[in-house]
Amino acid sequence: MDELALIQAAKSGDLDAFNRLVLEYQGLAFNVALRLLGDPAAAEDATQDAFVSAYRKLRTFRGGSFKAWLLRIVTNGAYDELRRQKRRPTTSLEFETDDGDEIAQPAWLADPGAGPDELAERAALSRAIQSCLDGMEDEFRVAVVLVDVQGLDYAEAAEALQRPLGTVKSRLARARARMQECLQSFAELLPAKMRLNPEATND
Amino acid sequence: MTEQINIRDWERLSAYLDGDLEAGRRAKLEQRLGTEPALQRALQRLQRTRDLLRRAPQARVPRSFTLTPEMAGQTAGWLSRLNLNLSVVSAVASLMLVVVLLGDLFSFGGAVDLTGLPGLAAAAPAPVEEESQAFSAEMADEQSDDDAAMDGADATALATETEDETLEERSLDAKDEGATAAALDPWLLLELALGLTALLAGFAAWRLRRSH
Repeated sequence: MDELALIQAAKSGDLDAFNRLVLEYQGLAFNVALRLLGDPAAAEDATQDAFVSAYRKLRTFRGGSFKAWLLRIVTNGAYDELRRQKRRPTTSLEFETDDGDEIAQPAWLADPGAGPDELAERAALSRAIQSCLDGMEDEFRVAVVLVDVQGLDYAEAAEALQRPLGTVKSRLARARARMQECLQSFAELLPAKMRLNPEATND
Repeated sequence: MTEQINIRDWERLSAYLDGDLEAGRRAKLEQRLGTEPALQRALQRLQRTRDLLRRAPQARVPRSFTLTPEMAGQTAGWLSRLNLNLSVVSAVASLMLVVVLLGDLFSFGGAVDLTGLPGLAAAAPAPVEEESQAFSAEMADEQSDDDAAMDGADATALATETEDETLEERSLDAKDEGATAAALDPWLLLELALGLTALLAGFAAWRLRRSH
């Protein structure tokens, strides 16, 4: 059954059809929420809430990109959570155990197929990116997360953010400029091949 | 080292990287890139930044987010109905409270005479006194008719005595009624009940919305 048929069936109350869409998009939705919120537990709640909300609002989906429509719900939910967090700040992306001990590789990033060096590099990169994202304004952060981290094209990102294409391009450019500046400050923490200065890669 | 690149150039570089710059502007930018090393370095950093972001590790989902029937609607349905009911109760109680308070306001201003209402009679002592006097006179008349053998002086004395006792009894009764009425003023009780209902229902509806 293709996506459109699944959406139609779900609109008619077929929960199994909707859950097949959930399985298709839950990875994307969770990763967007995680990058926007920087906290796995909050991202988990936001993702679940987004799917519940999507099911209830499914009748309002009038076609177009289901992915963009779903991500609009995810990002709106994440914005709400961010506003709540600003009222009572919490810690950033968890790289610690419950006892507060730092861990090199969070379980949610673990990849059984990767070697230890690669895992360490990924963790370092993920930590640097998240730290830079956390320091960015919401509208810039979401643009760079949707387009560069999650690979949406401009049109899909504009649809998900309900903003004109030009606004999305402009925000993305500014966000990239901020990211390149921020990532340079992590140069010593990243493996040589991940550093931004071309000279540094020749070390 | 970070070089100063203005925001318009960042936008051009970003669009150039994504192949989104139209031919004329692209040619112009490429010409500048050939002569401005700072702009070229900025483009390289931007490209590496985009590459790193694209390589950002994707987290595995910690669990399945598929919906159960309860999550899909059943629980939400009754919660939603309960929330609506509580909101309606709160709104109606608030409206009634306003009406009652306005009634109170006008009655204290003298626009409405509520002395005929139970409990408010005690607040107006004059009618009780008049009634007592009329009752005493009536009693005195009856007494005179029933005992014709008594002389005028005795009858007058008896009537006066009866009148005094009756007045005293009625006065005590009126005081008791007044105290009871003040303690159980139905308007006051109604206002309290409406106010509490509006507050509790409103608070419960608000909590329900917050938690779901």
